[in-house]
Amino acid sequence: MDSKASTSSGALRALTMELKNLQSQPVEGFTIDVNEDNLFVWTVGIYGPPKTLYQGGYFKASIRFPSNYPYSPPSMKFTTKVWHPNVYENGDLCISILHSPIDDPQSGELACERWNPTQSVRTILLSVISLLNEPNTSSPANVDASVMYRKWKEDQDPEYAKIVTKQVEESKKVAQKDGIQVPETIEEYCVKWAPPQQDDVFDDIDYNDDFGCDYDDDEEEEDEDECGSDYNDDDEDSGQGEN
Amino acid sequence: MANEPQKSDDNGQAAEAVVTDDEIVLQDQQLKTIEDEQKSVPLVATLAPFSILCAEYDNETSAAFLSKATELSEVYGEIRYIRGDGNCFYRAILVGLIEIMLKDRARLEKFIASSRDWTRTLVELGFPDWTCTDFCDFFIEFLEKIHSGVHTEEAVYTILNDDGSANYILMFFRLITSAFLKQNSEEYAPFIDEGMTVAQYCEQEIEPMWKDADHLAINSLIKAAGTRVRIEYMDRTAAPNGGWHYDIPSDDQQIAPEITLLYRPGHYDVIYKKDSTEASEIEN
Repeated sequence: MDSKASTSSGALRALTMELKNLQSQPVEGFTIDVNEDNLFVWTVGIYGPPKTLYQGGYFKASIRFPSNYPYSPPSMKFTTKVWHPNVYENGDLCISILHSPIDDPQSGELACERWNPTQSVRTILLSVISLLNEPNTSSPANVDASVMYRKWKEDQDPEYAKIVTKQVEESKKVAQKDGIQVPETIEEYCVKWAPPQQDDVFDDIDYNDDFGCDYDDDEEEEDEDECGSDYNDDDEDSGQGEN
Repeated sequence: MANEPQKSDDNGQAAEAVVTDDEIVLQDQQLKTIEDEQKSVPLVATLAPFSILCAEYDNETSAAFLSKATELSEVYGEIRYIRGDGNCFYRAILVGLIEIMLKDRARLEKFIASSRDWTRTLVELGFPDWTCTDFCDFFIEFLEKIHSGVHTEEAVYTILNDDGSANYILMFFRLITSAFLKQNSEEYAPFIDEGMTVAQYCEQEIEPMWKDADHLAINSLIKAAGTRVRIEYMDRTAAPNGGWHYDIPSDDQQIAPEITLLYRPGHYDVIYKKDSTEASEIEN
């Protein structure tokens, strides 16, 4: 028996199902592009969440699935430059959900955040969005970025925000080339990618599902200037007019 | 992908990652060797005479095991080897139950019903809805096809030996083990290492594939699946209370176990009694 092929049959079932699920109930803030000929490599585009340093950014990444998915986790690699404590210089994303529980037991990650077959692309994407904004500095993949991030958080040094903002600007060119319009406001971010009827998507970013807003209103209100001051504090912000 | 940057080590910051990559490559090679060894045994072997077990040992290097195997061969007539891939306990119980259900239609119907109940329970316990239910649905569909006769006995063993399908089915057993532990977390929490909750324990030890079953997992799965199991130990020091076998659940020893497993250090296989030797059990 061709064990490789038969191993993959479970993976194909899981991946087909996940893809269908994500197409019918997209995760907000992501585009997913899959070549049906090879379900084992997905290309995702991540929209920088509004009201964060990453607002307006368009970060592309590839997710590679092993033949024994979902028993083993996929790996994820940014193909757009991302300066972040948990992203290696080569783009590899280091996040605990992508590690099997047997990997490096000495790392500080909690067991409960590790991969197991009940996880899915959806839970990975949600973790990634949450990680973008809240790096895990206890096990940094990019030590320099981690130190810089901490200094920025402590208002000692704006360098971190500068680099990220620059990368966001660069990523916009990629978006343009791809013909992608990156949502800049929470309204767009939600409306465009909203539909999940269930409320299981996203507790990490605080928005309302029932905006019913239209796209164009806030187009000119890009708030680049807010980066670095109150990126995680919606209440103090005045630019977007949500809440 | 064409635009994927090459992994480079021309940058100081990347050094750490490169070392990790080397380690990963080495680890991958080791894992591959182990995997190849594992795959020399089918997931679920065909029935073999028990004497095949005795033939694994000899008087010079493994006298104690030979003597125990010979003793067991008086009671047990057949053995079904299970692949040692970390799933062997779960797979042995799966196979044991399927064998019972192939012969007992009422039991099959009951198990289909209880599997549906488990699907609901898993969701209620907060397991991710659509990933978990797919494992359940796949298993229930498999049972229903046995019930309707779509799956012949031969087909069943083919499926149990197909990695893709068999492991999908096996996940159901890991999930109900985890669910049972979570449902009875007060009872089991004292047995879990300090600093870990029952939920964390399940996510780290039970739900991941290829993780060996420990005593908690064994107890939980047997109770969750509603079966009675005897485990025969080749090694007296491994058995509880210095005995040679252990029945789970241990509440009522009067009821005969319906599945018997042979435990050798780190591994379980399924064994079968000779027809006429019910009375001459090995007691110690």
